[in-house]
Amino acid sequence: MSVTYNWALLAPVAVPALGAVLLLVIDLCLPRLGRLHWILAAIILLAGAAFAVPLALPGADSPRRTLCLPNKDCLYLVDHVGVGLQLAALVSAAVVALLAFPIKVPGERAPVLGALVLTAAAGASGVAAAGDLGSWLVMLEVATLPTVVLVALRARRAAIDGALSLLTVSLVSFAILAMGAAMWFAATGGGLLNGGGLLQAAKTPDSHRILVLAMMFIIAGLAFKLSLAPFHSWTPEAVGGASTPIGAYLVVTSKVAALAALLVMVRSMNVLGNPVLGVLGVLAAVSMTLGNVMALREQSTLRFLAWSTVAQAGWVVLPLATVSSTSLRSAAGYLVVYSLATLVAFAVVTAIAHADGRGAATRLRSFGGLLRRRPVLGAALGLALLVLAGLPPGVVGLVAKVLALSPVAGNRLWVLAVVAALNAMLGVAVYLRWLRIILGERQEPVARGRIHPVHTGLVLAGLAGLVVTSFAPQLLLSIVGG
Amino acid sequence: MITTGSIQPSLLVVAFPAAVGVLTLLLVRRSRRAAYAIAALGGLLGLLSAVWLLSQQMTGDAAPSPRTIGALPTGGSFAMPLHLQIDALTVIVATAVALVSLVIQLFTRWYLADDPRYRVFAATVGLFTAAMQLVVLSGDVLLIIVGWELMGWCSYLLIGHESDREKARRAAYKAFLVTRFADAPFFIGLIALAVGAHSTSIPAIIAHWSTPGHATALSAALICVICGVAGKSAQVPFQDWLPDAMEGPTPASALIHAATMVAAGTVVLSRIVPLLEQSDPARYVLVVVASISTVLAGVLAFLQNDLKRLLAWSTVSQVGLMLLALSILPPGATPDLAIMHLLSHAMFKALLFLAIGWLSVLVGGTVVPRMSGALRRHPSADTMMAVGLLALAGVPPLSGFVSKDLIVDEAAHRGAAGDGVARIGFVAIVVMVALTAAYCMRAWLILDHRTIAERRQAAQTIEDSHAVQEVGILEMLETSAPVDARGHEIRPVEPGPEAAVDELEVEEAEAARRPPRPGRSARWGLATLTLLSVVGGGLALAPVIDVDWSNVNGWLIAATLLLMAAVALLVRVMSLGTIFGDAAARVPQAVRNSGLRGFGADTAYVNLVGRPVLALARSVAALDDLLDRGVRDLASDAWSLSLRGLAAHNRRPTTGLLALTTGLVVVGVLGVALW
Repeated sequence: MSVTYNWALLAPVAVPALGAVLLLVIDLCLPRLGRLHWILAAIILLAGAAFAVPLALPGADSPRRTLCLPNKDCLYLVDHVGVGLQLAALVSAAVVALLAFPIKVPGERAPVLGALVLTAAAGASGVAAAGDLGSWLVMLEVATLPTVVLVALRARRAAIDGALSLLTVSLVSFAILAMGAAMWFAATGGGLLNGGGLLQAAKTPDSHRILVLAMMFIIAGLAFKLSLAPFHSWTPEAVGGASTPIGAYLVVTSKVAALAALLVMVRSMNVLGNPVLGVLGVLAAVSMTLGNVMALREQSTLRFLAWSTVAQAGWVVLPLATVSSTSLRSAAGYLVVYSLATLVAFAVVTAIAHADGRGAATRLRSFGGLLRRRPVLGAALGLALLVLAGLPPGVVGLVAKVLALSPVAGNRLWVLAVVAALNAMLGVAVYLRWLRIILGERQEPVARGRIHPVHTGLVLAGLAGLVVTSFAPQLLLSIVGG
Repeated sequence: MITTGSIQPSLLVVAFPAAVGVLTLLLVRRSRRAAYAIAALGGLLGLLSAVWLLSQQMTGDAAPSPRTIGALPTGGSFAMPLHLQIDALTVIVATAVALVSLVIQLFTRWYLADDPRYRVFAATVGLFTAAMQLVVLSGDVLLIIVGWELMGWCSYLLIGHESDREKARRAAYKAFLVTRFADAPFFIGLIALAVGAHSTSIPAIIAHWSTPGHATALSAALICVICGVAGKSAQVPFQDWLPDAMEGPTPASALIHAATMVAAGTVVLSRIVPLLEQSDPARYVLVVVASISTVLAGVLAFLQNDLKRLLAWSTVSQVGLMLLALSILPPGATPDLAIMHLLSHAMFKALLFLAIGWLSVLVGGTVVPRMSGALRRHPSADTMMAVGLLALAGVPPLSGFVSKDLIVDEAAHRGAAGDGVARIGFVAIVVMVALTAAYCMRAWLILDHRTIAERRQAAQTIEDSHAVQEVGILEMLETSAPVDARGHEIRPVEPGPEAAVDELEVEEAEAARRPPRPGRSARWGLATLTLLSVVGGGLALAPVIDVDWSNVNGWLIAATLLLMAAVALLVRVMSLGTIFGDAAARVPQAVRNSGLRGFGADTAYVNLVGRPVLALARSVAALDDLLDRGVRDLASDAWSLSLRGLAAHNRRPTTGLLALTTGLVVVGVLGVALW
């Protein structure tokens, strides 16, 4: 059996995967590098992202395939949306690595953490391109299981609790996913996601029913990864307990991986028609409502961002409630915008946590008057919140919301559209609450330290990114072919 | 020869009074003198510009449609040229407005001598005059609307000038709301006319609507315009704001009544009279409104207990006559008759108001008990008063006679020719002529009334004269008390008819602050008005006014004069033996009381319009509140929901697993069920 290989195409997955091994080997040879491993990890991730860039250019062929079997079925294929998500996953993981760099950890732990981030990023990158059920499932778990360790390695009570919560739910969801995969296998008689078996199974009533149930299980399992309600319970615990860069990883890179997995599935699910997707609409509506409502009272910064993730996940899958060519791009586009804004918010929180102590960054109240105390951080956080709320001057957030709503309105799903509109309103209240604190009365931290230059650089880059994309949203949306 | 340079006198006619308003408010802070100087100078310059314009018009040099601020950029399909329109009638009206305004500015200086807000009043009068001149000279409905609107606001300010008094505030609100209510159809009508013609220019509108084929639309638009005219001119059913507007200072009343606001309706209708002549429904509406107004106002004028309110109702009646004169016009005729009456009315009504204002300052009020015999005690105003009342009644050869009898003649002429509108109008005019004579006679008898004491003293004098031979002249001169020029004994003035002691104190206190008569310039202005009221009828002979004065029916005029004489005699008889010489005292008390309230028009306004509108507003507010509650509930619901959410998320792994299981079951069931 001969399989074709296109290394350039595989590089976005292979580079971080090999990089993880490399990191461990380096640690073996030079045990005193310590936190420099984060820099190495970031370089490796950005190198992987660099391989993805040519594919993301508007002129590139789409989809590109490799690992093709003699019978023309390919196990690895990426289109514009997939490569965009790969880019998003790798770059966000690199940002996480850089955010983590200044934070002091025991010397022997840094390479482990770096290797885990690289592994997870490889999984996230791989799942976007999976062509068969087996690699899809493995890649998905590679992308998410290391996060349990990443959370737990902070070695505090809250972190252990969070990791435990993450682990339990993670295992159950894996079980559900495995169950779904098994039923899929039973219904179609094969593991290929786009094979002829799927079409055949969809036509036979009996196997069609099993197939629908399989899809439901898979959606439920993925809903856990995306932290859609009611599969969200781990999110506030894990994000609240983990160190802030890992929190960013959980709500950004993990999310990209999960959405990539979902998009791969949705592409296949189109043959099953609307009802399957209707479930996603219900999940989206429940999720955004619950996330917003919970964020309304939240006092802790990290948990606030976790609830915001739950709500935004609803917005991400909202366009997928319809069968249309644009809905995939809309979902991916929304995710990219969300990722940028959330990373900026986490960068600010991390910077403050590193400078003034974690206590000064975990309570919303302690952000009082940030805009006057630290104008750059305040401006970046304010703009990020406006983008998340979808309010001008955060135009890019508004564009993303319109993008997410347009397939829904276009298909006349008015109930869903009304729920989404109400949630847009609620979301404004949620994010303006934090914004008001930033603009409001000054709250001086107990011990004021210096912001680490790496953090400053990242925040400035993020702020520049938000400003530029607010003037030209197309720049950001085009990486997923929008 | 005056050349028509770049500066058009027609623009100055509007600009000078407007400048009075703006400059007084901008430049003057405290000085009354400076405010007066600006007001008087601005008024004088406005009058001179109007005279300049008049002389241009006489020599034929006047630009027929001077441009103002240039056309508005509205695109090709709709034109807004904003031109003025100058012709003989408008120029004369503008001159009259400028003259009346100037005299009022001169008089106000004396009348409001100790009013701290004189400055504001003078500025408002200037602005008001500018607005009226804009309406008079405008050749564009948009400019008419601007002037019309400005007049509405200024009238609110003038009537409510003494805003510390509750009644003045209410009168100002009432005037504003009632005219505003009528303005809505007025604007709709004018806009409809403009939209139909694709232009706001009045000549274009007349040209467009004169072509046959849209009679219904034209009638509807004109009736809307007539509604607005009835509002500003205080015609039925909007008549009741005008007498209440007497709460304003007398100069403001003179301005509103004589030449500006109330007459504006006539001016606007005379502008579009070629359209009115083509629409019989509109003419019928106009003649009915004007007839009812003129007769009703005549009756109410007779019943008033306050001479200023009497004059107010007489204005309603006289404006009704002007509108009647417009409604009886045959196609192709020009509105000269109405304008002619407008001019004479402007003169004698301004005169009457200023004279009554003068007297009221001297006697401390305008109600009948105070005014009774006022001319006996203060004879300096009696010529003005006599001329004004005679002109108002229409006694030959005063101006009121000429203008009114020409209308009577025209109505009879047209009625005989078979025009239904003219017949209605003729009947109303005849009744109105009798009523006018009645209330003018009544007013005169009150003002000229002699108390019993005075009459007894006169009788005593006559009696004494019989016995004069028995006394030596020298002896008599030595023993009798000193007398003044009129033969009256010089002694402390007898207590007035009623509660005169207080009054005298008030009078003396006021006299100490204020000279007993207006300044020379104001008296000169009043003299001019008196003169014009006398000889104004001669305008009918002037070439600029096109009226047929040579073919009037002498018998008809004789009959009206006879009617007036009979009515005057009746009123004289009625007044005999009453306390104040008031003929209306013979009318049953209930009727008089009702008449004082305008036959309950105010109550009708409140009940028919005020209350329903308020009820509607309240229900809308309630509905809005209901909707608002929904929105507010959304917020509080979200808030309480989040509390419940907090309780549910108790951070135990089992809860998460339970939620996950539930979710799985729900998703599975949903998936299968939906499929």
